[in-house]
Amino acid sequence: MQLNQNILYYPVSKWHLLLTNLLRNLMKNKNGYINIDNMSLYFDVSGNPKGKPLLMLHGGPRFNG
Amino acid sequence: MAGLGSMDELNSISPYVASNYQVIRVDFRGHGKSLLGEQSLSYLQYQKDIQALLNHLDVGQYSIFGFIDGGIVAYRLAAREPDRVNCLVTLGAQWRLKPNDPSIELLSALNKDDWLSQFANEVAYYEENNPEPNFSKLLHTVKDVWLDTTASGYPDIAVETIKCPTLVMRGDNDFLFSLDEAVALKTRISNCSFANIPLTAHSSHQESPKLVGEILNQFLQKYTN
Repeated sequence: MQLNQNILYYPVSKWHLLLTNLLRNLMKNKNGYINIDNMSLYFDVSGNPKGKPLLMLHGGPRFNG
Repeated sequence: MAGLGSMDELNSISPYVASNYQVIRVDFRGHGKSLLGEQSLSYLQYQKDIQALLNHLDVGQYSIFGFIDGGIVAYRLAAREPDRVNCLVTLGAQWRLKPNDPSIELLSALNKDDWLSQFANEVAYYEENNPEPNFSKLLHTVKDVWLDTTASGYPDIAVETIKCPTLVMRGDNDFLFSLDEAVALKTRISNCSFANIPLTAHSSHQESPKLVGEILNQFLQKYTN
């Protein structure tokens, strides 16, 4: 029997495309510098790559009493 | 307890949210490993830097935890981008600086020699890790940020435009962000909860990390799922 390869090929292709896009949209954990207005800002991305983004911002130099 | 201000000071509570969230941290200009640059600093400048970073990372909607200066920037971001910020949590973050605020005298008097004498280890860490350290210039520059009462500084009444679920936290013994000011802030944000952290002062997340970490995670889980 002649196997209709299109039946297998297209669904696999679609799943592959979906998976590729999903992985591309996931933000990878990383760290490094970003250049803004000729100034370098250090950042890092950690935690669960599938989790929703949580921005954590530190304080400045201050006394604590 | 004190810090010079860098993402490392968040290490105490990061583990409480790391399994559920992708955590984005950044060193503000001049702080930690970031360069100071030549421009004057302001909370508005910090805000713009964060927005540029989030756009660079292609982040759409996000939530924020911000500690003191980071919290002040967080108020600004939530007020400025109400459709983008899902949930806001701040700790020890003033929202305005009134002319008679007791913190003005304290912040104005802060000088390099006092700091060096008491926090030599923190300064040494900064000078070791920053590519272009200049602590004297950093301290001088951030004092202008703290005492800025113009539109580039504290959000003031702009906090009334914050629409996302918000949790304001302060240490029970915080000498900079008073209970009265925290309560006044709560009345100005439509969907605002408040937590007064017992047995802590200005750095509750370092003094009581388990309590603050669990409150943070519980609040985020409630409003981001």
